[in-house]
Amino acid sequence: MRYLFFLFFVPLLLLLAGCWDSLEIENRAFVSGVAIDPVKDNGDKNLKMMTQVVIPNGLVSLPNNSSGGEKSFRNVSSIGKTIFEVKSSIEEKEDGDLDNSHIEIVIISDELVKSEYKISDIIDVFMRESRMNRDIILAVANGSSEELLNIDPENVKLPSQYITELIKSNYKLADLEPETAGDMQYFFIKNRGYYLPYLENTPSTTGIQLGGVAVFKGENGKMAGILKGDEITGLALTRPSFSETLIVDHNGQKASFTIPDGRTEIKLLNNDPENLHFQFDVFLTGELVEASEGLDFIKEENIENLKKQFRLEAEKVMSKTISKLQNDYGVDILEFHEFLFRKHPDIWKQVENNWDSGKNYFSDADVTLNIDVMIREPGNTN
Amino acid sequence: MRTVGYADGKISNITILTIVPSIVIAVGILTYPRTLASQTEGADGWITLLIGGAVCACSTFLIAKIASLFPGQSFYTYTSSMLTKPIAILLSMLFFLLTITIVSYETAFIANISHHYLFEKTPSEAINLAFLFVVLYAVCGERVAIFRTGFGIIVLTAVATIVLVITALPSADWNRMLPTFTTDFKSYLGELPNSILSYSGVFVLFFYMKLTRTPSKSVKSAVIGAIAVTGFYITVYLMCIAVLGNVSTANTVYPLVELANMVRSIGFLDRIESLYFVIWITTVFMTTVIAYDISVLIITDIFPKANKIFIAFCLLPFVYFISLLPTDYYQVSDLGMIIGYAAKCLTIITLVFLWIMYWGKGRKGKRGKS
Repeated sequence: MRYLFFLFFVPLLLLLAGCWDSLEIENRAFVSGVAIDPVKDNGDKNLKMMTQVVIPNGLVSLPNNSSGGEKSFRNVSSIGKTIFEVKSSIEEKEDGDLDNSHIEIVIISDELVKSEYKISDIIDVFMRESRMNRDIILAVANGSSEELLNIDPENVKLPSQYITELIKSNYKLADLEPETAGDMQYFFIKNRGYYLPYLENTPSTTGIQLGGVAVFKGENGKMAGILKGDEITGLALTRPSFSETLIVDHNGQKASFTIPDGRTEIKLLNNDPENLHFQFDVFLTGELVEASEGLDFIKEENIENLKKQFRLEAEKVMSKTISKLQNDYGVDILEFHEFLFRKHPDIWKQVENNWDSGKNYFSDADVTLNIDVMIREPGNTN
Repeated sequence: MRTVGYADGKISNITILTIVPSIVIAVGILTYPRTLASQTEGADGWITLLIGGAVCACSTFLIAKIASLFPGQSFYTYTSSMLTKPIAILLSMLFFLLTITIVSYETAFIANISHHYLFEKTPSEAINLAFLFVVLYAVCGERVAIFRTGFGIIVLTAVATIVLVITALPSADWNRMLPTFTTDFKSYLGELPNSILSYSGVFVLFFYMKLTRTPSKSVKSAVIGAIAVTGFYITVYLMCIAVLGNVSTANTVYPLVELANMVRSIGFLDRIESLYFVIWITTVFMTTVIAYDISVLIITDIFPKANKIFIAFCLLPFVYFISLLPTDYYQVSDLGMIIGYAAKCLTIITLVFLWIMYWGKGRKGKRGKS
């Protein structure tokens, strides 16, 4: 009896070692970045996708390895009708199984989203597939996005990591956070406008810079245009909290201010949905960090004039951005829609369907700026 | 199989307190923020959660109270003395069917969700069987041991949830709670059944109250347990809204998993949702064990001489078979819906019958005495 017991149960132990889904870590190919481009002469509406696969060995530099070490990534690309189809065909070229749970960045070429595709259709797979994470950062590239994943950064081993850090640190300078794939879900479902970092090729060593932000129209998910330079500053000044730098023209000379902790509040001045009147209350507390004029700024009367210029400059950049968004692009990324929905739900219900589309209440809205300027300190020198 | 005998097989008030959350918190925790957010605006869903919690606390009180009036008696004994034997058998059988369906449902859900997040190729037959074997192992042992495991798991869940809430705080945006009270009355009303269903399972107290040492005091602990669940649900819901926002919560299949997904880079761990997964699976495991145990208990109450382990083993094939019936996500959630409504209806019918008979008989008894 006892022997029978063993004969039956001991073989069962063999089953314990079985596993249907076992996949050794060596066989996983971790994807860290994805670049999506259109295909030239695109008759079949194909997409070209390149994935950056990490080579873990290349990430570790050994002390005696003077030759510079191995490559730490490889780029594999393929063509297909949907992102998932491309992924499958990339997998055929790869020795491992693509593991998408650590993607940091998805770069999409602007040629793709200007006319042909809705961005939400392209990145749907990054939200739907179960192993994806919501923290993926989206970016738009000027021209070819593939090239960006081929740059040679000096301080980090992976181009995708470099780009992610580049975007994050630039946003952080303005005290903002880049939108992630998880955040985008809201804009896609509610058909609201949004903006994404806009990357450009440059001839510098790293070959890349954050050139501005790409503005997308909510109703059709297409790129409406970009905001650059001053316009970004103007956009940053409309955020609830920000840090920015303003360069003020003062009697033909320049003076630079930093605003380490600026703050902006939105107010609604009337209740007429046909002609809404918003006001930005901007509180700027500036620090003078650079002035090319030999005036004694420790004396208060000299700073008064500068203060006025400071306010005018802020007003100038803000109204430039606002007018561009209202009149040229017709996209509300000023968060008026959020504000109305949260604070004035009754009014929002009336204008919801024609906000920055159709009747375009957004473009018709009046915006006044109420800028409160303070110069906290003139700096160490006079 | 040898089991360790405990002192008297009786349970304390604290145990009753933990049984309620153990059975109520099940797979629903992963999905209820979605169903709630999809019908309400902002964070308004907490109102229906609160109402659902109040309903749950009331029914807990009524169930525990009626059962405590018959200290030491099993459900079958006191229903037959109140409502005649055939009705007692009928009710017991209905509860029996309900509990084995619950076991199957939870198992099917586990298979479904682990397919979604963990395994791709493993057949659900294998997952179900492995899960049910572990459940069976727990049920075959002493009943008190189940409660002790449950106690541990509830503490673990509570601690994990508190940690989750704290670590998610940095990504929370409290503006997402706004606007408040904009949901119209109709939507609240339409949502209410869902909220109430999230709290099903307290009927186990019909059966477990006979095990307590101090029945009258246990009523209070059971109600505290129900209130704790309400607090837990509301906290998790508000956290989902604050971190993911109403729209994302309403459009994500398992919002709570996504919430854990958002919490990243704690020390060397990049993605910690698998840890939370383990914890939720243990709470689901606890619900399954209790439901399985109740179905065994119902049989042993009716046939006191029956061997518990034998019955537990006999039930396994049926449970396994039912757990394989729903094949996709939609069927699993439909089954959950059916179970929720069935549990509520059965509980209400039993409660109404018992209380009516109790009042009726109580008056008669008084008249007889005077």
